[in-house]
Amino acid sequence: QTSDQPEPPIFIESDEASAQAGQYTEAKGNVVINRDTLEVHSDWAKYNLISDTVHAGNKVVMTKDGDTLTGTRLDMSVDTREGELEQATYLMGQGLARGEAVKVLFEGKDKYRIQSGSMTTCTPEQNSWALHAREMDLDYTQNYGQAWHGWLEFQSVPVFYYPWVDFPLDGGRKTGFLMPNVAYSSTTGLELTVPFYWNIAPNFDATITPSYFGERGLMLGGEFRYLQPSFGGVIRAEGIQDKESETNRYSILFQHSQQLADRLRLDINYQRVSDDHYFVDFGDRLSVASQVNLPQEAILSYSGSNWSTYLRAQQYQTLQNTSSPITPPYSRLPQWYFSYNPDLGGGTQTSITGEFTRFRSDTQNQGDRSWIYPTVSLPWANSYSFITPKIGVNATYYSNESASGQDLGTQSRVLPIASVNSGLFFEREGTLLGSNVVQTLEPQLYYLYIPFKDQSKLPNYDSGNTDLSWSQLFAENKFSGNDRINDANQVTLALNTRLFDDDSGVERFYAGIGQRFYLSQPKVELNGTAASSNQYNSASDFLLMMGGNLPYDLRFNYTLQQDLSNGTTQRSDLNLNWSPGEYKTINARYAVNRLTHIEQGSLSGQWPLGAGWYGVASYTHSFIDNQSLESLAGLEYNGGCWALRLAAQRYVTTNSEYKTNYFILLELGGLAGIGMNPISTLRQSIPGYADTYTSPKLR
Amino acid sequence: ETADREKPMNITADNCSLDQKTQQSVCVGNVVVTQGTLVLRADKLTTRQDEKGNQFAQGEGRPVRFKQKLDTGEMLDAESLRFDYDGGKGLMTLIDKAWVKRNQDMVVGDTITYDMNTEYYQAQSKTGGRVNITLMPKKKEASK
Amino acid sequence: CGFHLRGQGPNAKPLFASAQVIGNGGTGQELSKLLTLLKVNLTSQNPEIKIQIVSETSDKQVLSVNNNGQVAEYRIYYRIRFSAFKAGETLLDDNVLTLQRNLSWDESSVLSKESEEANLIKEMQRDGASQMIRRINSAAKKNQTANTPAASSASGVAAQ
Repeated sequence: QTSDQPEPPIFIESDEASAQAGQYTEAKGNVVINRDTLEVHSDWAKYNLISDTVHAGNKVVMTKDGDTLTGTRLDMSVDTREGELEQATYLMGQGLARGEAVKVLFEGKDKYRIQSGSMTTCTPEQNSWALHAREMDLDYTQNYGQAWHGWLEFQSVPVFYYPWVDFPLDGGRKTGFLMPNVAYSSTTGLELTVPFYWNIAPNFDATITPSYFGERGLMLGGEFRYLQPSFGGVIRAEGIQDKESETNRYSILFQHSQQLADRLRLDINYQRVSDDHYFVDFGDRLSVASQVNLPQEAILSYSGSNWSTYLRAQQYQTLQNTSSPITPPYSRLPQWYFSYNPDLGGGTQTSITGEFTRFRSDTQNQGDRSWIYPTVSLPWANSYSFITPKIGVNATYYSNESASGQDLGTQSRVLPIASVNSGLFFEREGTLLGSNVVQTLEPQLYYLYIPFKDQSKLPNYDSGNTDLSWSQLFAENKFSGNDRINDANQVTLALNTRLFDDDSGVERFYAGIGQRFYLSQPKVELNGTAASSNQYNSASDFLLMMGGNLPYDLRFNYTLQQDLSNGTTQRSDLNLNWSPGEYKTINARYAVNRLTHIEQGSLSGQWPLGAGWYGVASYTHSFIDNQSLESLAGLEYNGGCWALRLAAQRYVTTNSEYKTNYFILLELGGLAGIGMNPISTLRQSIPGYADTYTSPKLR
Repeated sequence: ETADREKPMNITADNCSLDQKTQQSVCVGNVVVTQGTLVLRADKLTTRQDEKGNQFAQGEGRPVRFKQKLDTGEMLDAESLRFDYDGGKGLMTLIDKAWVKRNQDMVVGDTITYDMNTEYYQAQSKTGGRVNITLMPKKKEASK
Repeated sequence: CGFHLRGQGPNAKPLFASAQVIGNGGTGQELSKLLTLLKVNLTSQNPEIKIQIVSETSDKQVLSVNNNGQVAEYRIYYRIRFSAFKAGETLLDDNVLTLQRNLSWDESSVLSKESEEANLIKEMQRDGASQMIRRINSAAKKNQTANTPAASSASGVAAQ
């Protein structure tokens, strides 16, 4: 209370009262004292005018801003809010934090110090855990709690002793130790990490994570994040002297994005690890799988109103895998791309795209490649049909060198590309399951002509086969990248239908079939040219796609890429999901892909087991190799004011060995969790997983 | 002030009568009593004096009003339906809907007794009734 | 079987003749191209419909792994959050459109897979743009039918 503000008056109500003018006032019998937001009920109370202090006794109940404290005796100085309450019990944080204490000290507005007491967020009936402390500081002005020399009691069993612990009171992140993480994995043994969060400034923070691996030793990790109006980024680094392999191992990540000017932007993404096996030993399943080629790139991009360009320097660190060696990608030092869409009027759409790239590799042939691809199209459409003729010329120029830099001459390729895309739109309105729907039917015809040009001797830096997808059906090139352009004299026929909910316009169901018919034999292949033979496959694979919402909370989607000439399935993917209610979801998936040699099925789900228990499980089996790829089982218990999460996950790592991670997390409502949080893993393995416990905030 | 009691007491009223035998005077109608800084207003007042010269008075009014300046310079106001003053003990008792106001501090109760020598007052409430006190904490400078 | 050429049925061309698209991400450009194709005049001087693309985010999640623990397929998500306003009235507020495509992956041809991923994202932007138009159309139609009876009842009241 600043001194210039008038002191709020004190109102005392009681059965009887007496006062010595100018010295004290005493009240007896159901005394109620009110001042500002503070209200005190007691058997007797005495206000000492000289020292401006209130004393109350035998049975005291104080309530203030939602906090309630009871005790046997209260002595408090009114204006400084300092004082103490003996044999106290308290209920704070909107009735969430509860506990008792030999003495509660008031150290100013919204600052409490609890002496030899306890704190819990469980209701008296639950009473599952309590944090005991000889001294506990709850400072609601900083939303920061600390406790000294105490122990955690769980189900009335002392679990562990602690010299000091701190915890945020509003769920926000305060500088200080976060709760330790405990986990176990087959490659590192016991893993204990004690992260320290340092909130340097509102837009700078750092997390320093010392962690101890049973079989590997001590690792020091750190993450530094910064965010400014025009730029932001993260630096993550961790390092260890690995006892097992007696080597220094580290991993670095630096990501930065900055808006240099109104339309000029810089993005940097640099990742590097010390050795190929790093993620297998220290990473979780996701990082093992997805981090094989670590990008090290910087991109400067500018987007004008009808043109855009970017300059990129990019290379990869490729983590080799003994059992299936990987050809490292070329570095592009630099790559300059531009695209320009001038409006020449007359309903035409013109686009000129081009690129210059210097491909570098120290093991394979390298060189520079530049191409330019101007196109003009005349899209014509009305409400029920469209026709889009398009012509373009792709000119490509190579100057090649050997790995050692010896000049290997130049090559070039110029190819005209012509296509006509056309389609009709049919619709009908109807009702389905009681809601009115609109069904569309769209036949489409797409003719593409590209003459043949022998490209078998051209280098191949970034071309590859692509899946036959809906967008591929109407693409000009069945190869990705720019080094191979397929010769084409082909017609694509496709038909798709969609069901829309009439009043919201949301798509409820879609189905589509399509196929390409070759009027002459396509000869260009990734490496070399197909031998011309009279019986060739006159049509591409047949593509069928469908999916949508079915009654009874079922959702499905199915994709089939079938080679009709010999009846083999190139790719098929069936997904089923049933989510009848909260925390109830079951997924089934069966997928085949000749291109990537996989044939696997997976089952995953989350289901409540009753009495606060929830089960999660996921199993993926590879039929080709007849082995399990990933199996996960977990149990979660939501005890109202605490939660326990247990999960074990076994998955294949790069050298077809398995790794098992165990997660255990004990979450005390309002305080924090102790142990490794498996949530991100569960969400990754079980589509539709819903978090069963969120820790309440004490503020 | 405490010195008021030595001051002469002056009573004005619509009419007063003196009963020689009991030495009791009864005044009725717009009774105003002044003694030093003490001013009292009531509808009816009976006063008497004992042999040692101590004054005694009872009165009633709708309501009876008191005003007195204290040694500390603060003003004291009070009201009640009836009052009983015992000059011998320096004890003033206000009865029925009584309240006493010192500066901004105020006590409300069914009966309030005020000891003029020690400036100690007590408030009681009839069963079911309540005593209310309002206190303005001293300004910082004053109390430190 | 009840099908008719679009344009004859109630869902004719978009119910608005002019529109403004705020947001220059990929979907924003595709939406502008599609609207011009459907003869909608793009203007920022009091357009009939204002379409604001709040955010476009693409996300890549591992869908399946081969027996070496390497990624065999990614699932690419594209989330578009947009709002649509008609004469100050909110037709659609923070509407979310999520599209997803599978992309088989090969760590040995990262560069070509990256360009294939870019093509998939472009196609999702085009698909997203056309679904946005359909949703805005339905919301505009509902808003129109909601306003017309009110208009008639108001005139009814006036008549008494």
